Amino acid sequence: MPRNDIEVLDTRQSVELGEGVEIHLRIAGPFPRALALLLDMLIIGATMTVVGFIVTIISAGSAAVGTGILLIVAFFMSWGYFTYFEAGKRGATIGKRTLGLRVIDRSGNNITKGQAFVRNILRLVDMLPGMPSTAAGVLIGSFGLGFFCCLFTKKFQRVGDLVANTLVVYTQPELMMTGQEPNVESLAPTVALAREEQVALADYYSRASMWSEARRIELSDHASDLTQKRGMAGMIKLLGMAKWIREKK
Amino acid sequence: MRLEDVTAKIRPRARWESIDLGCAMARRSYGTILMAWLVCVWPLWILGVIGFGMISEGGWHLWWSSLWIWVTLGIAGKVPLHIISRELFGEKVSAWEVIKLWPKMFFANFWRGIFSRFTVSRGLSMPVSELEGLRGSAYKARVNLLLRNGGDGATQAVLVSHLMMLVITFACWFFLMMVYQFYGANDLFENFFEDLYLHGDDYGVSWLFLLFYCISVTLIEPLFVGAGFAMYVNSRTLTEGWDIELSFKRLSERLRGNFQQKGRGVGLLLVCCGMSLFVMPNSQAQEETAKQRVERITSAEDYTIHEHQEKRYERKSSSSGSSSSSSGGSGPSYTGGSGPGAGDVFQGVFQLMFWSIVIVVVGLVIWVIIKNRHALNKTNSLDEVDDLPVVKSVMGMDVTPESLPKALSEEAREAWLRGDHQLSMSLLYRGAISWMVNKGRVPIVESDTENDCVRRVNEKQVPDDTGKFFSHLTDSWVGLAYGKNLPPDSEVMAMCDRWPFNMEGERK
Repeated sequence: MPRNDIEVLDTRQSVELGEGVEIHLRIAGPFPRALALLLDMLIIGATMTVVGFIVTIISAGSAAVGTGILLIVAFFMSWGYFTYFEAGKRGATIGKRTLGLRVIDRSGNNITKGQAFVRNILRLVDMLPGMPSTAAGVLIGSFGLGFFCCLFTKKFQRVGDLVANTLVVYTQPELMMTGQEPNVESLAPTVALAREEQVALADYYSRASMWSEARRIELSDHASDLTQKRGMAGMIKLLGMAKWIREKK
Repeated sequence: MRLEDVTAKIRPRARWESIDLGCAMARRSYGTILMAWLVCVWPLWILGVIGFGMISEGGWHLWWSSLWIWVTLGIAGKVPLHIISRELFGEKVSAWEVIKLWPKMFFANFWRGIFSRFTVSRGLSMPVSELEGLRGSAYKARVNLLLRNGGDGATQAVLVSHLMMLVITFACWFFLMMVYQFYGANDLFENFFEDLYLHGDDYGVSWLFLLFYCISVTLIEPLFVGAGFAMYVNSRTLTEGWDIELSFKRLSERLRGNFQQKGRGVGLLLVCCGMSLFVMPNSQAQEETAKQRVERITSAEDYTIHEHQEKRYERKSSSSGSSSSSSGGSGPSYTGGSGPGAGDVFQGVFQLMFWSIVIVVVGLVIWVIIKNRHALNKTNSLDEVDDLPVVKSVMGMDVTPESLPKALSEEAREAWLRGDHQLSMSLLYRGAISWMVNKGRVPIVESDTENDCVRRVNEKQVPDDTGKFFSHLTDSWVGLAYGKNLPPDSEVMAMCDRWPFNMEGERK
């Protein structure tokens, strides 16, 4: 049975700021974030391997010094890598940048160094359940808590995000589909159209070339109350109106 | 399927965003999905494991069981898909409904479900076979089309969902370890494995990990199916313009609704008129007035047209150089006898309103200017302020004229001669301040210090001798009050003689 009590889901979520201002953010979910994390882990792993090789070659005489250097590098990589890149200008680690993500404050601003520090120190909590490894000197975490927290919060926030009040969003502009523009006479619509309706008409115009003729007509028939015509004539009239709206914008 | 009932915002999305929408959809019905999954899929797995246990043993048993669980996932995915897809189109599905449908779902498209485990586009192709019911070449063509348009995320979704399964598997393992350690084992790894090997067969750990795999699949498969379904919806949105179709349908609904509402309004009016025919005996008379009213309105409309035309007439006359005034506003050929009085009345009312507004606005402007005239006159702005609140005390001293004796200088002199120097000087100083505040209009405030008062008096440019007197008095007062330095008698006497600050009279 159809029902109306269900919320309409959207990946573009509104965040209310003070003074009644509302901004829309496209918040990234667990899938792209998991992949970004995997990439970052691989980068850290690769760096550690390279550093390990170099240190072994250099400190051929004393193994203790080599281990010391390696441990220091491991410490800075595990604690500093995420914080350094996220507090930077682009607000994203290399993995996040690859996926087109960045970390921002809940108000849409860049995050502060403090926020970057907090959200990454709490990575330790997000890594639970985990197991301390004495050999590597770090916690080997499963990221189970972070994953479920990210999945079940509305804005896809892990514990670190919730505490530091940060969000991970997409940086690329929204997907705009455009094809070859149809060649029609522009024509003013006969009734006043709401903003969403104007957008739909403009989209119909720019995407028309991506559909078959039959589908174009089928779609324009849905708006036959506007054009007062059906079939090919309706489609041409609707495209004309759409062109008029695009020209006037 | 009614596109109008859709419970997610449909629009063309980039790859990852459509996957996110799938996660959100799966999250919304996560509880229902898990319940249905536990009842439908887990028995299937358990039956399989028991069945293979009968025909094989040891490593083979584990191997067949794992394969069974892995392969049946292609069919098990129908459970979350059924719930998520129906929920997207506004239909609430309970776990019980899915359980009832499960036997039918299990056998429908059985082999396709099995074989889909060997493709990476399972998430995207499952809705085609399950929801559209396509077979053969139509199915292949559809899946290919979907893969070309926005379906490029399917492979990545598979990769990431495997990563997530790994996460959950290890989370399960670590969690068990933590619990294990909590109950007193000292060396985590060693004891754990020792126990497993001692108390189980050689495949104990493997069986344990198979269990973890089943748990992780249970938790992650809804997301994977949701992501695949969202990509499918996104792909169809791109190739068929679902978002446009939805917007156009809503547009048509709105337009039709407008007309229907108008129609309803007319109907209601008709019903009311009909009722009034029955209720009111003199309805004929009512109708007459209505007609008159209509006439009046029509005449008013005439007037509007008339005014419009009059402007044209004016322009014409001015261009031809005629000096005809148009205050009367009746163009010779346009008034035409229709609604003779109405036009004048309207114009009169309009003019009255216009002039009232003008008067109010002008009055307002004047009032604002008067109210803020000090801001316009920047020089000596503080001097001009007459309505400064008069302070009652300065530095904790009462400076109201009432608190001071009339013959202040005389009393001060007497007090000084009596030897009450403090009282004498304080009387003089208070009197001076009181005069400055009340007569001299010096803007002294309660929190001002002695030096502030002197500065303000100098700024105010009171007559020179008064200013000097005040500053001299202040010096003497400060010296006595803070330094206990008695001013010479002669000086005090001179001050009393020359006292310029008489409140009610002229200065001496």
